Amino acid sequence: MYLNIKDVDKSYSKEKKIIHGLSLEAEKGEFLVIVGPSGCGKSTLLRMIAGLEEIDRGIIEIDGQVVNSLSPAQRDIAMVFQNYALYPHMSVYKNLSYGLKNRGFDKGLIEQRVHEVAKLLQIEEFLFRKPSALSGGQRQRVAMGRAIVREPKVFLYDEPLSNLDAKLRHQMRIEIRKLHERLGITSVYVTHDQVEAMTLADRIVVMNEGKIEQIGTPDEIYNTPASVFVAKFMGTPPMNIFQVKISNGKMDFLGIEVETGSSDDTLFVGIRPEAIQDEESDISIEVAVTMVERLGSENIIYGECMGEQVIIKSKKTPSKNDTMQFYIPKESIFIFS
Amino acid sequence: MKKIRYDKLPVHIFLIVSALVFLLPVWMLIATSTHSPEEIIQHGFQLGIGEHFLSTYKSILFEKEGYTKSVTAGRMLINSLILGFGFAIGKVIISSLAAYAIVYFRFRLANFLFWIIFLTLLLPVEVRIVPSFEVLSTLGLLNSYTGLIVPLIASATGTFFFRQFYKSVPDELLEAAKIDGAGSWQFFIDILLPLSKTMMVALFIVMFIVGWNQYLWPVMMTTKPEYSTLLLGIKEIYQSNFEGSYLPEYNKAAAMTILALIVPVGIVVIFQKWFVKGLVDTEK
Repeated sequence: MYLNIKDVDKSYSKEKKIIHGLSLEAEKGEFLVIVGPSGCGKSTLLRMIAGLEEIDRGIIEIDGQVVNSLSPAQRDIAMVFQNYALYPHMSVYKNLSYGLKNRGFDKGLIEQRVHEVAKLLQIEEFLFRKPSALSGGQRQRVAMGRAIVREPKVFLYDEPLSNLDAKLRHQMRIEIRKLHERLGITSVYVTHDQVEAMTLADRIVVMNEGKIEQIGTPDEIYNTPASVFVAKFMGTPPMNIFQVKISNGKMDFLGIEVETGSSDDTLFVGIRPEAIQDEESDISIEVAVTMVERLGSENIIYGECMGEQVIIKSKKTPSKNDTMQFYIPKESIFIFS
Repeated sequence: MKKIRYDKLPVHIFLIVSALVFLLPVWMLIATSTHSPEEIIQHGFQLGIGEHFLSTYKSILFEKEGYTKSVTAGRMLINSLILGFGFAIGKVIISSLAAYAIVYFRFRLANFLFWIIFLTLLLPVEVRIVPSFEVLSTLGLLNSYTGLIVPLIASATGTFFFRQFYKSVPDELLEAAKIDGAGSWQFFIDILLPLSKTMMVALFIVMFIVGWNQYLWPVMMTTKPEYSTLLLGIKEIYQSNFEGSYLPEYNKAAAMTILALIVPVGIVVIFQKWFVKGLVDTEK
């Protein structure tokens, strides 16, 4: 494996471990997205790969070389920071060339590379401006350019789009994916935004409390979530989760009995808001509408069903306090122990 | 033609009058320095320009003056400049380096050491002047520029300001530089110093004036007239006026005061431009 993280531990104090025995692998050219709520250790993991944080235990390998004791510069990685971290007093050109200059590249080669990258990212006309004279999106491009120009082994992105507005974020997301397809450099991308994760990733790593909850392709994560946490975290609006009592290996859920092999006392049942439909299907439910969010193309309906809160994605536009009939196909029910 | 706004008139009149009040003593010095000593003795301080402008300034700059008649005001001016610049530049360099060490190298006791440095703010130079003198005289540094400058350049104020500034520089900048392969020295030179340009100029201006106006320290440290500063020179002229049997040369005293005034004013005026420019340019 190109990037190999084996059994890594990290703690800042004795009481609190940030990362617990975490292992992760990435193939050459893969785009890995690490996603999780804030404080789950995803940024720490990225900074450990970069060498900005020491690790307490375990091994990190890049391209077959153990990099545990190498400095960030020696690891041949490049990082894009959330706040861009451009050098404010240097022109864009100098920002891009600083890393190359420090590595003793020839002046002519630096110039050639900087111009290539500037052309690729369409920032050529800003080369001699200072970062303060650029817009957020342009700064973002410069930050990317500073990473690309070095042609590193691994790209690390630390929530690079969270300072941009929604429209620009969407646009940059597409550009990052295009760039990745073009350059094919192994990338690790940290975000708390599950839409970014779904759209950018070859594989998604869902983290929670310093551990990996699930690794898989976006489809796998969405269609076969491994835990309630993953199910709730991925997808907007989040999956409806109900706690259900079991008796005799069967659960009585919304009036329909479902066979389970498990003998646990309680199970969790998950239904995605988009799986609850108008068309007649296996399970029928009655929902008392408490609120409707209109999104234009569809509506998000918040309601109550048998004492539980439900969220439904639907084309229907009920008004508050309406009672409506919805249906759930059996195969779209997730069961978590 | 620009329209006169009459509602602003009282404000302007007030400002102009205040400016005149403040400028009057300076003008009196300039005017007095252009008269002959005899005239000043007879008629007191002057408001009009006299005929001895060139001769007065020529004589103080190039003729040996003072109690001992062994040093020119030109020499004193150079001494004052050396003290002022050495003091200010030394302070900026030392305090920026000290703050860099405290903020970026998380060595043990860094905070403790910082507070120790900070505490010395409470002690003015005058408090430690006797022990400092003792140390320097043992080292044989009395009557030298080194002795005049070095003991004063450690600066708690400067270190404090630089520390606060460095703390406000985002950590990501350091991390980005690390990834870009910059060592700690390079980060300091390439990133931190250019960012703190404004700070440095501000500190330089303040410290230059403090250094220039040092009186007690040079009095203690120098006994040879060739190390005497302008401020000491002014005092000496008045002293010789009172104690000597010459005609009091108030014109020369006034001229030297003007000299002592021009340089700090010039420094402030020149650097203020950069200072403001720095404020506008820099963005973290």
